[in-house]
Amino acid sequence: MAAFEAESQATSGGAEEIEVSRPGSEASRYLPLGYLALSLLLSYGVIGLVVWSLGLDVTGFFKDMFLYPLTTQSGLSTMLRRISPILLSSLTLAFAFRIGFWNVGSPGQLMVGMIAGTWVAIHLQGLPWFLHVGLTLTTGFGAGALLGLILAYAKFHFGVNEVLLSLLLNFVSQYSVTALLYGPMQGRPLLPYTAPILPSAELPRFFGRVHVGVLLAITLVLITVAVIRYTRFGYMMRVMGSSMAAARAAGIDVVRVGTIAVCVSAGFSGLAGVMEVTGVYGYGFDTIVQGIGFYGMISAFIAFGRLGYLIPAAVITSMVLSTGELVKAYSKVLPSQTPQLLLGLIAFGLLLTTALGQRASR
Amino acid sequence: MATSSVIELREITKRFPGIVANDHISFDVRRGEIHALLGENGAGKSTLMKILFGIYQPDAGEIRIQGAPVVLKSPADAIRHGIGMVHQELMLIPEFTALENIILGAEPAWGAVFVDTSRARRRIAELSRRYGLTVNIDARIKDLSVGERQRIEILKTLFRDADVIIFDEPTSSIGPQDKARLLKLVRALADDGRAVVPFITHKLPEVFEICDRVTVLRNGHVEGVYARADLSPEQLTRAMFGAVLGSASQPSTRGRDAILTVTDVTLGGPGGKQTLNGVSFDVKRGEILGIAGVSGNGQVELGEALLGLRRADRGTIVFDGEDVTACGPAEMLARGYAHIFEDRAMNAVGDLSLRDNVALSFYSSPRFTKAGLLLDYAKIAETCAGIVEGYNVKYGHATDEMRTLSGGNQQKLILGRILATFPMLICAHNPTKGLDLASCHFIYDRLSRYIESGNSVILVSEDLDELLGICGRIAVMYEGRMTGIRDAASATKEEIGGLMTGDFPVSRGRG
Repeated sequence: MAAFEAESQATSGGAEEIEVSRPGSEASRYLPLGYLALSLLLSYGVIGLVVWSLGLDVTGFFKDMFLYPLTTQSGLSTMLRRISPILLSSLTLAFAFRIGFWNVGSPGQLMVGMIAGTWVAIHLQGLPWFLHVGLTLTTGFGAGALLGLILAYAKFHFGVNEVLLSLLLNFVSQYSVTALLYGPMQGRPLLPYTAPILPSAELPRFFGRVHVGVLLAITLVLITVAVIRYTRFGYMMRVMGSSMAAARAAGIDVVRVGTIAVCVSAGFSGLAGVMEVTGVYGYGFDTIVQGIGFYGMISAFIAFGRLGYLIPAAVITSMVLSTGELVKAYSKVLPSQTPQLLLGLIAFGLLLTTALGQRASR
Repeated sequence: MATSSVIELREITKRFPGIVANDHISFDVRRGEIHALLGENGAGKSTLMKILFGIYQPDAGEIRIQGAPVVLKSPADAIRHGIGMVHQELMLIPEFTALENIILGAEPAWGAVFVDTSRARRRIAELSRRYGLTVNIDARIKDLSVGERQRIEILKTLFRDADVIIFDEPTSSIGPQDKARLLKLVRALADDGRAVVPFITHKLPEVFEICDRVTVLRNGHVEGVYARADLSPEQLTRAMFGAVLGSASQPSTRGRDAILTVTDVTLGGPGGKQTLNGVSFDVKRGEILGIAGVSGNGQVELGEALLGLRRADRGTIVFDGEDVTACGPAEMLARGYAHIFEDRAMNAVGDLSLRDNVALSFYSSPRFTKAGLLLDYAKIAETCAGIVEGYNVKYGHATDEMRTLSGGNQQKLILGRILATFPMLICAHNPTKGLDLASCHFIYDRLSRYIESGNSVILVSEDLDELLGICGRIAVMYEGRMTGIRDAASATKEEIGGLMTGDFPVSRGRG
């Protein structure tokens, strides 16, 4: 979102006459955190108001809301499991956005990665686990990346709008995968479930049900941060993200860099998809990644599109969504979609506080 | 002077973090006068102008219009009070016609919903006639020349009955014919009772020609206010900078063999128009070749073709003895060619830091790569520090964003990073456009010295003084062709000006 802010604060035409018109980057770097805190306050406040008006115990509710995902076994493991796909999905958006590319095809890339990786997980027999796991994950990543290749080719060779294309490919992917799940990949009669994966393809677990995919996701985020900050490739990406024209004029091969970046970003989602199978459920089905792509986008938004904020943002998103059990206890009066409502309020609150903040600083 | 002052600024002060842009500036403009505001970039000119136009609010001081104090919260307020502004970067909508642009925001209504275009046309026709502003109001902006666009901007302000018209660097992007018309127009506007305030950084001769008074700004405060009768160029320069600057010397035109040979390069434009129509010329080693021409005659396309951003449909480009017609930017840069675009957004990235901008020249160099993958940011920081030092760039921190620098400093940094790669040929397109005098001279100086080691420069410019000042030969572009090449030493402005507009002069060497 740093880029969004920069765009909307574009100063008036004559670039020659720019005086020092903004505070140094130090002060404005922490401003987004302020906005986030404010919007969290507002959103929880609204929910609190609703709870109070329904005659429920507000302090008890909030205590439970925060403690449940952090202290109970089920809450904690749900939260940790959720972090992995949300984090990778948000990484898809944020990484591609570094070059100004809107990859909103995470849901579709998740599905494709899931089905491809699951095939490998089911059918490749007799492999030692690290090889099998490695191949499964790589296949998932690769399938997502292939979808990314389509996006990149269409954008860089035909100028196709990537928002439309990636968005619509979500549907194409979803229905294709569902067709496969009722077809050759069907492992159970009448249901769109695959056969169970082989034990050698399962991701190792810890803390009970939490799989190592979480660690992999976190590591990947850190690696991408390092790539953007320290490598030549990352530099080229940053230039492209700020000014495609200047990048071309400086001799950057925007097609090559762009294609790689988009494919990798899509691969992240593919990886997330297959990890849901090998780390959580043990088999693939059509609603396995329901909503994950969407939550990933919100998480990226909460992180202001900054790679460095993705992990905390995913934690926040996960926390909000992991109050499911809790809400059930209040289910007589609160709808079961309350966590999603809260997430939406946070996102809206962010838009509001950021917009007002920008207005005030003029 | 309150009675005849249309606008009075009293003790205007505006601060930004770390800098006082306007320091108790007092300035007044009388009815019917042409009062120029001179000052380097960074002297506070543009801040003052933005305050006058309601874009900024002053921290202290007041603005009085017709004697009454006003607060201008936005350009709309300023326009309502009769202040009009003709911007340097013309703010017109390319896809709309001239008429639509002129009445934008002030459409005469027909009933509650419709626009009364016939009333608008009548009024515009009347204004055009009165001031000799001939322009086809049904043409789309994108099809009009820079001079015509400027006239439309002027009509915009007149359409809203502006009493005071502010011009931001009015003569920096137009050719000599348009310039002459503009000066006549400004005089006519003033004679008609309006006030005109041109904001200028250089082009001192024009200042003398038409202004009644001149206010000089330096470092955020008013250095002096002069009446025309009391003016001399030396005095003005001294007021602006505290010293008289020498002009750049002319290099010898004795060239050797050619570093660049362009033959019959043709490039189609949108809609089948030939933007480059058989361009042929060469650049000798060790020379500065000027390319004169009013903007829009193929200069930008020529630059793109030379750098390799676009490929010529026909013709060849030979650089340093090799055919590079099919090469892209990365290759051309590697071969020792460098390009400074007119559009600064192509040479620098405003959102990135100074260091990251310097890295634009070095990111692909093995010397700046660590372990094959990582960019050696430490070395880049060093290089940046060296450039900033050697090119006298004024900045805050090396990690600040590029756009926090003033135009002159941005351009110096760009020139520095490009020269630091020691290209054999640099093509610079309007490198001094909109810059203050000191930065201009700095750039001329650097370019002149650069060719001493056998390198070459192509200087594409609309400023004839500039071209005649430092180039050895001057080629002229008109409608995508080279209409002539002259020796700078013997060429006259009339001759070059004629070639620029497609007239072919019969005589040569006349004073």
